[in-house]
Amino acid sequence: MHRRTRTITTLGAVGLLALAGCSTSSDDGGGGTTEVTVWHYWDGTNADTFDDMVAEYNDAHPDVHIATSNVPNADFLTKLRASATSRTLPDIAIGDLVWVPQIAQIGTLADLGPLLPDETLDDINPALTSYGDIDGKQVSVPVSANNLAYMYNRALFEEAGLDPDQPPTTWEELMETGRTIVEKTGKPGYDLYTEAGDNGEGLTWNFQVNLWQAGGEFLTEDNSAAAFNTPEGKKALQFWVDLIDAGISPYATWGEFEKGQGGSAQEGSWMVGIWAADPPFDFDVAKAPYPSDGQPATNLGGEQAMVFDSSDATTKAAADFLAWFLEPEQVTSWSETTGMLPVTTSVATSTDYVDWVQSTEPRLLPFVEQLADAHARPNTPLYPKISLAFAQQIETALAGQASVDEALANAEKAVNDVIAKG
Amino acid sequence: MRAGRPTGRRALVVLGRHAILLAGTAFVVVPFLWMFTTSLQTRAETYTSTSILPTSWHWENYLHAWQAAPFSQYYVNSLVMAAGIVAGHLVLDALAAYAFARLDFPFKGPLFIVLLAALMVPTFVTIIPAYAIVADLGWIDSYAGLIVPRLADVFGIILLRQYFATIPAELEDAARIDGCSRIGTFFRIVVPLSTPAFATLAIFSFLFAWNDFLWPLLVTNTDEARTIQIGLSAFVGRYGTSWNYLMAGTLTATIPSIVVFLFFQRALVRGIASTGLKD
Amino acid sequence: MSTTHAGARPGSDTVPDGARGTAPRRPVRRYQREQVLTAALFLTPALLVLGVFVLYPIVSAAHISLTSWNGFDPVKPFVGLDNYARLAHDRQAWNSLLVTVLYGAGVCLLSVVSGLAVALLLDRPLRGRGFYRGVYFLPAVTSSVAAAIVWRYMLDPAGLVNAVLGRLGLGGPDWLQDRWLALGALTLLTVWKNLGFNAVLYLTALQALPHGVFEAAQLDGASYRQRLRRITVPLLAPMTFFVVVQALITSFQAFDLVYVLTEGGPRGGTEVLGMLMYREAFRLGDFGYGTAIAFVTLCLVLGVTLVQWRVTGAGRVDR
Repeated sequence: MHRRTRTITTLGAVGLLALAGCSTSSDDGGGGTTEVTVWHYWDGTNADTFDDMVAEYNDAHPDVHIATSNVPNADFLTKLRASATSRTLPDIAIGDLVWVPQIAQIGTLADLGPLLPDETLDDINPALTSYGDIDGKQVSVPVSANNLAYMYNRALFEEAGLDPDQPPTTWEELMETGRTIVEKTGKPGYDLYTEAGDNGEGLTWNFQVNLWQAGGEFLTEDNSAAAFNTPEGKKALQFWVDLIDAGISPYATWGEFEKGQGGSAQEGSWMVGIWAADPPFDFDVAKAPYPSDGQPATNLGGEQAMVFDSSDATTKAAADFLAWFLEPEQVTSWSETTGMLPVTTSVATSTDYVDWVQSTEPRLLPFVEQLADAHARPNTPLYPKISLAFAQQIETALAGQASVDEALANAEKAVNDVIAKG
Repeated sequence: MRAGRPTGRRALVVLGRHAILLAGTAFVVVPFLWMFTTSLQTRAETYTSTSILPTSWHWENYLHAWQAAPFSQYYVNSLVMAAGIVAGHLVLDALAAYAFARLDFPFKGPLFIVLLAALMVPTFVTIIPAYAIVADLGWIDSYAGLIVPRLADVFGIILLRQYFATIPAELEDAARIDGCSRIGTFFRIVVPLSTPAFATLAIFSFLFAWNDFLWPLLVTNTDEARTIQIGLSAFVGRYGTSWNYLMAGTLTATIPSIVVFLFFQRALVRGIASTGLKD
Repeated sequence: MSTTHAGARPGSDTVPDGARGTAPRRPVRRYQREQVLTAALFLTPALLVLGVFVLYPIVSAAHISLTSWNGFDPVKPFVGLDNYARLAHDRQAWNSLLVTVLYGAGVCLLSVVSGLAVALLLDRPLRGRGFYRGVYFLPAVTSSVAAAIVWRYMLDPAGLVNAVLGRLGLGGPDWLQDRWLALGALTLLTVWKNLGFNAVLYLTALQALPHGVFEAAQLDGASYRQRLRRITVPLLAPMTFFVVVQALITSFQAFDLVYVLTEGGPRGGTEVLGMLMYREAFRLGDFGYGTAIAFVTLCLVLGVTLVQWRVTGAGRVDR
């Protein structure tokens, strides 16, 4: 048995070493073609659509080969981090908008300004372009966009005696509608994202909509200090607290609307695409209501593409692909197939696209129209920490443990501390 | 050992044990039931449904989930990786465990503490430096990258060491007096007596390897090399999770774990049958 | 690394007394060299793998904990013990420590008790034993995400638990909105999830127990409870040590279960160290700080383990 065990062990070791040679990666393209690797976190139909478009581009450009790889979004940054430390980065990374400032710290993002045609850059939604403008370099360009609007349950509206074709347009109307729903159906009228949780962003990015609508700002222009502890900020927070106190948006109960057990909520444009094929209930969309003495606003999300500097040929090839992707024809087909919002103004305002939306999925229209009033979040690498610190303090007011003034003051201090520590 | 069925007071005790075990069973099985129910719903139903028992029966979800990604390839990769890791653990860990349990050598104590400490370091701490090494060796997208770094583990060494420690030293002493070498007593006495521990380690190692997600994610970029857990994570999108497909896929992926457990757990209690009751 | 053992020349059976001090030595020296060589042979494969892929990265990580590395930069700015100093003043970290210690204590205790109980129940012949073994192992193979989600649904104010309590005429609180109830729920969930592992570990250990001792005790008239307390439990000490170590590690590194069940809420009420370090390192871009938290965690768990090792004598090999 002794000898047999030894033989087995040796065979096993040899086998493993043999397998070690079985590398299946193929990162040297055939002679002459430039290989460009793209990492993204899209899944399902979005991934398939992207792959189709990439195949189309590869066919039309035989001297370039674009290879795509899906990386789960929850670990996207981790994988980028690991790759950065061992110089196995992809050529293009398509990630969430808020990750760009952190990724820019790797220091090897190409400046897309000189690499992309001016018409393309000018055509992109200005809020999104300025987001990718860090230290004078255009380190990223958007490839998809989404924003937040008011989604509601038509059946519950009817049950409460409300007209589902007349959704609220102001904060005051939103409160009234919410109150009616609570009284007539016993269900929450409007879901608020009241818990900071592990990263705070759920609360922060929903709150920012109301903050901007009230005329406030989140950080100063140069991201050097908190700017929300103002009468406008107080107004926005008071709005939330009033909704909670009135029983319209009970604390810590986000999710009722999505279960069909709540009247309405502020949701993202992606929900339309997810639900359209097989709606769990009869839902509809309206632009986000804003205070009668405020202004329309919403928050922008979506994916941005970044190009890592490598050889000139690869960087140029990558930029060319992005330029192609941002042409009106591609933006239109990409948006129409995936339900994501077009990142270029020419497409977003074109009659063709708008007509298509009207006829195929009219519930997307409020999101499209809101693009003109959409803000992007601050493009500071400290944003995740700022968002968490902010949310944790604001939550105390929502949980009834602090007054609106206290919570805002504490949040301002916490955020400024984060920025100071840098 | 009594023949025939237990009677009287003994019957009550047996009944009591069944009652406790059955009650516990219900408690234990509920999440599995939920997974099963969810796997049979439509996407819309996964938003609104609250029942633990199935109400709709969309068996095609299993097919669609399987087709959503190259799961056949993922399965093969996961199996090869798990087999390699289990084999590695059984061999390498046993050898090292025996050294700690029975042999005396310099720095034995401090070395053991170092290993204990290594066990307690959270995985994420080591994962990026380890990745750098594997990348430098050119093992990205290969079985080597998936298997070799996990060929041995501290958990197994300590588990086996604890088990070896409970085997009476007299048995080995007797063999050595008969002229057997240390190596001989290991393979002739200790190993055959440790079948339950090896079975346990096999189960745990398989589960660890089969469910491992982060390491395979880091060392693979292409579909040819990826594993099942990476495939399943694709159902958790940024903008919402396909719960029905995720649960269908997860349940399908759980089958090998259950098979491995059922296979090895017979060895866990072989000893009892041959050595009589401790009653 | 050489000692006087290894320094003995081949063929010589003695070593000068003065070089070795006056400690009593084993009678037959030949076995010692055999032991050392065998040990070297047996240890090398595992230590090679572990050394390269585990131990060296740990050393590397220790260095990272002395920097303010963000996980991306090629440059890792050295900051000495700043991270550790910051940790000492971090209120959230102290909260996490409290939560984790309570959580860990609960998980350790209940893991031992439940694992041993189930193992004892399944150790004797019983009809359907195989079935029960399989069933009780199910949580171990159930995905953490699914398990935590179901528990969250059941503990919802409108969920199963409160429905059952209502049927019995009792009211049920909002379980996950009270920090202590939520922590209790998290503890139970963790123990439940690992029940199969712990039971299997104890079952394994039960196989190795010498039956002669039990028979003798039974003949002497010892009751089941006495045999359990006086014989079984002490003999299981090595495995109990192992179960406790595993429970400690699980609770101090817990992330998945906590994240899905409560996301660390309510308002940090169940924010265990595992969540804190993962968040600092991977989400907030403070890899150096997150690693420092990990090393402090390591010291805590190692400290407790070493104390346990000494106190319970679980390291003893011969009887």
